[in-house]
Amino acid sequence: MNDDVIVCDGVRKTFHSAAEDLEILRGIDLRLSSGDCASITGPSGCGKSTLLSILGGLDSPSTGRVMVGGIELSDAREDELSTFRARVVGFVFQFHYLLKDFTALENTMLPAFMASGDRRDAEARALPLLEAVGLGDRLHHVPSMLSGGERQRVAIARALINAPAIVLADEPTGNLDRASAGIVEELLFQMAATTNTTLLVVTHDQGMAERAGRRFMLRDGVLLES
Amino acid sequence: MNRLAWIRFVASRWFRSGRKVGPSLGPATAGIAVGVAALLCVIGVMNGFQIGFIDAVLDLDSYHVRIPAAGTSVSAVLSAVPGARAALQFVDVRTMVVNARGKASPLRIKVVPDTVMADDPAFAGRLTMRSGTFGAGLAVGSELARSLDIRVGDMVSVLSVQADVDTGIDAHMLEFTVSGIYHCGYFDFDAGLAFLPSSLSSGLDAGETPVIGLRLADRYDDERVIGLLEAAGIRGAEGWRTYNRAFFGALRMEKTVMLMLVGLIFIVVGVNIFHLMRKAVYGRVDDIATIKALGAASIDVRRIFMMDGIAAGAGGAIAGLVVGLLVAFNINGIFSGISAITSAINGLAGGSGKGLEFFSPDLFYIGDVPVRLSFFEVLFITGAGAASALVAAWAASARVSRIMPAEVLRDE
Repeated sequence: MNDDVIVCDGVRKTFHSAAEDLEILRGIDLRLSSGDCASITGPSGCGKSTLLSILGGLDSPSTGRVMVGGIELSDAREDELSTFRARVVGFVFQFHYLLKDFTALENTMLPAFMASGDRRDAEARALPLLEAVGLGDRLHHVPSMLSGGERQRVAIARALINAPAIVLADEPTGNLDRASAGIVEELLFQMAATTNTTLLVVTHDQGMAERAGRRFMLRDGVLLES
Repeated sequence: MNRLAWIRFVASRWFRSGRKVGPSLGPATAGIAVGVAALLCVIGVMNGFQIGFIDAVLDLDSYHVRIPAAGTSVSAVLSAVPGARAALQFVDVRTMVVNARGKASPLRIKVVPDTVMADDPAFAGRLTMRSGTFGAGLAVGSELARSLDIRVGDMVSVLSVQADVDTGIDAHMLEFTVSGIYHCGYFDFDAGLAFLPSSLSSGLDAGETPVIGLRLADRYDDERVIGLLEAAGIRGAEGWRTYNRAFFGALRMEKTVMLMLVGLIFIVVGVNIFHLMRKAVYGRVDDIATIKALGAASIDVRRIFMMDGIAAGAGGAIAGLVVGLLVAFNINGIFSGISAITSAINGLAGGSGKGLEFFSPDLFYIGDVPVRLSFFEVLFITGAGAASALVAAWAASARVSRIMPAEVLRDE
């Protein structure tokens, strides 16, 4: 299909150590189209986060072909991967990974600032996003002054600021209480749907996984669609 | 796209909050400031002494170009070198001087034209008479006058030696009146060089080889001028840098070694900054991985730390520049101030009231400390201070390239 934004063909990933070679991914084939919402579940250590890192250009496969947003990642140079991460994908991690010395507004606007070099424009784009995630009154709070749920909402706003084609979320509610997790989940799916962004969520939360239109399970290094 | 804008933004924020993740660069910045200030003071004072010596040598003794007088004349030299400041013929006589009580001292007497003070303003400006005048007799240096207890009006005897193949050696004493005592500040001259008008030489310079000394508007023009002289058929000219190469070479070597020794401060500070910034990189591994995940290239993240290095280096270098120049050009006032303070303290403590004297005339042959700094030396020293931090920051930030976001961000 010509509107596939994520294409994986026979992706394998092996971690080498002195003791043994550990093959985590054993031939992953995956295709997601623009606007798809997909979830991946699986036991801890099965390679979900590794797959997400490969799709986000943070890691490279041992073998196989990965094309995301029309860009061949398997043999991309470091500067090409940096541009890809800045413009094509948005990340939401289990831990928020906000910059601790920066306010909510500054954390949110940073990817746009990095992409455009225009701070005012970046701020102008960050403000409505933070309003949308309900943090309009927390703009100038640093992460230490925000709750866990609020930090993750800032992380979602940050992931969306460059209007990426794809948002990759790795256990986005894993560190949150039930109430905060519900808010974050709702925001993530709602904003992805509003902006027609492809959303791929790695989660242990069955409820969240079932909310996705396409559901995958990763087991023994193999990805199965249910 | 203005990549530096966001790099500056992140760097300024990290710089302000630097203490939260690692040691402050403040002491290292202060180290650069101390290094720059120390080097400026040391080099300024060394320059002051060296240039003072060189000026004295060139003004009173060697001139900028020396030409053997045989076969040419002052007017021929002046016509060959348009724009020359002065040219005059002189003779150097190495001899002994003996005072009225028979105490002797080696002496070089420069027999110069009677009109030298009018013909050569640089010579006249350098030959500062402490007592008496030049022109009516022998002008001796202040140190020689002190060691032989000579005063203006005294008679001294000078050994005159002429040798001839036919008549053999003729040695006899000539009597001269001391008409003046000069002080140029260069000990070797003040203790061993005298000047005598040629009309009063009484044959002292007979048999010696006369030399024409040429003074130029730009002393560094000597090589070109020698070419002009040779083109005019005047051979054997020698530039001041060649003629004095042993002395000037020693001065340059002394300065270079001192520059290197004091410059070691920058290496120490650079290593210090390297270690501090490596700690800062370790302390910010999460942040570095995060902004790399957001799309920053490794080189951009390194530039963030380079900005820290630039801030520390430039801050220290500028502070050192200001302090160094202030101290260097007020060093005599600072010594006087310290002397006055210690004198007052000594007096209050019931002592003799004598303060700390840094350059007592009893021990040192100087009254004031001369200071000279060139623009390029100031630029070089300040630049070296700033560069030490920059190089250290660049080396310390190399680890940034090895931080893999996928490894850091999955392990919280």
